[in-house]
Amino acid sequence: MRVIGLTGGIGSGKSTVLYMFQDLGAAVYMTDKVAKRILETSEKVRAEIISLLGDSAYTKTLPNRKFIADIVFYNPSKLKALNAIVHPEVVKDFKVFLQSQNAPYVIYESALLFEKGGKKYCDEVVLVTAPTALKIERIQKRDQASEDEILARMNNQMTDSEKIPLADHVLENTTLESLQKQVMSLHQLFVKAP
Amino acid sequence: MKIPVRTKFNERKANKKQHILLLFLSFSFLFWVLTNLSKEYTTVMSYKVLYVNLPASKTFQNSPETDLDLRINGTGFKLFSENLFRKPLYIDMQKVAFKQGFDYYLLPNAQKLKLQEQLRKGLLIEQLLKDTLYFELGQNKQKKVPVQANLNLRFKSGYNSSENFKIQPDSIRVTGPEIQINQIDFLTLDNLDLKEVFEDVSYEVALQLPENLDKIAYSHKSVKVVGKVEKFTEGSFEIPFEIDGLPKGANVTTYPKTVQVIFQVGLSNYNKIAAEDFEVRCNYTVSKEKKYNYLSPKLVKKPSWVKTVKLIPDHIEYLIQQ
Repeated sequence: MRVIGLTGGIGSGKSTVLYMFQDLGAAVYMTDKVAKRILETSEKVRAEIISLLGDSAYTKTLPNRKFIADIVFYNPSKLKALNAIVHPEVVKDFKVFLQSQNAPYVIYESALLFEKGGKKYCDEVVLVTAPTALKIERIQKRDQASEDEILARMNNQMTDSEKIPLADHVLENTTLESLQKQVMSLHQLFVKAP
Repeated sequence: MKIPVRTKFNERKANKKQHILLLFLSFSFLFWVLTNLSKEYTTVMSYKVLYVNLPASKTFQNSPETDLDLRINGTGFKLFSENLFRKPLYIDMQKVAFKQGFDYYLLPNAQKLKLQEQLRKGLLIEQLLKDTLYFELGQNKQKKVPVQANLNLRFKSGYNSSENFKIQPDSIRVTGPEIQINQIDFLTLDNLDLKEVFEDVSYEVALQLPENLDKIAYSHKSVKVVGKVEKFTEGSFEIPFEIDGLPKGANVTTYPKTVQVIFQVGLSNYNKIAAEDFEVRCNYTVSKEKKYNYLSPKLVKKPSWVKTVKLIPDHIEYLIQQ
């Protein structure tokens, strides 16, 4: 089955694009959501994370997200080790997911598709971009975060100009109407292509 | 040492003189007292008062005056015995006059004759020092007031209460003067501070009774606080949502078309929950008025035993065609 990678920086409108593809009949796989589920349900992942970060990484039943985030935000080696625990489990889950789909194509959505090496599972990659000011405005409305916080989060990701050469298709998200049109033309392309 | 006989005789003589002197002094004093007591005097005496003939269905809302000062004229004898054997005075409330609300008043001078009759004969009331007696009169009332909990609960991680804690009984019957009853709308419990709660709760907690409302009787002075506590787990459903306030004939496309409802639920209720138990609605008019380019989904229906519900996403982008 054809796998289309979908990525984009924070506030670019990546989720909206994902929903648009889903509306058009594509199967969608949201890696962040799956990673969250794995963190909560996998005993193996839980044991490895506790061994990496300590007992406080989990409350009795659920991961202690704030504790985990506070540690890995300032410690890149811990972040790398955490990804090395969760990422292989996501890949395994994705392979199982692929086998059960009969949609014309699958959208594999990951905010850090290039950074985490997810590109190798995709036949093509769609990148969603938006002007920085628009991204900041969207995140401020969504998360009630300050501009400084948003910029700090953006600086942890590759810039759009770094990602554009790596993507096969670039969607410019300025208005919802134009985004819908761009998604529709890509959909027609993905459906037609062998 | 031996005392001479002559000296003893002299001492006895002196003692006798002293006794005679004392006797005369006593007679003089008695004569003086009797002379003075037979004279007339005017003095102020304070009497305890008892109120009688209160109009039917009225009761005192607060404690009325208990003393009444009278300026009285009479012989010293009469005043003296009155002072020793003073009886309380009865004040007739039949002619109590209405002022406003609960306020009433009585002019004791109007009852001067009745009061005079209650005094010992030979005593005359010259003046009542208080020209007006004020009262708060009303009815005795009773009502049921709700009890408000004052709980500070912290559950152990992973535990919660499926239902709101119950107060048994949840309302208290209060009885007393209406002026005081009217001041009570609810009663509060003493603070109940519990930490790391992981099992069912059952505590007897005292009510905080208002100290200034001292004439009220309460059906209970403490109540029971009970609650069922159990282990919680996370559940989720993907459900569609409705949009209110759309213009007629408008065609709306939303991204996404469904929202994820994530919730915490007690293990005993986990299997009872279905997606149909939840309802999510958006309001287009509100978004338009606030100039938002997205809709805000709101949870309008959920089972009572479900806790901390989160909707994902909390912003829904939309395209509208008229």
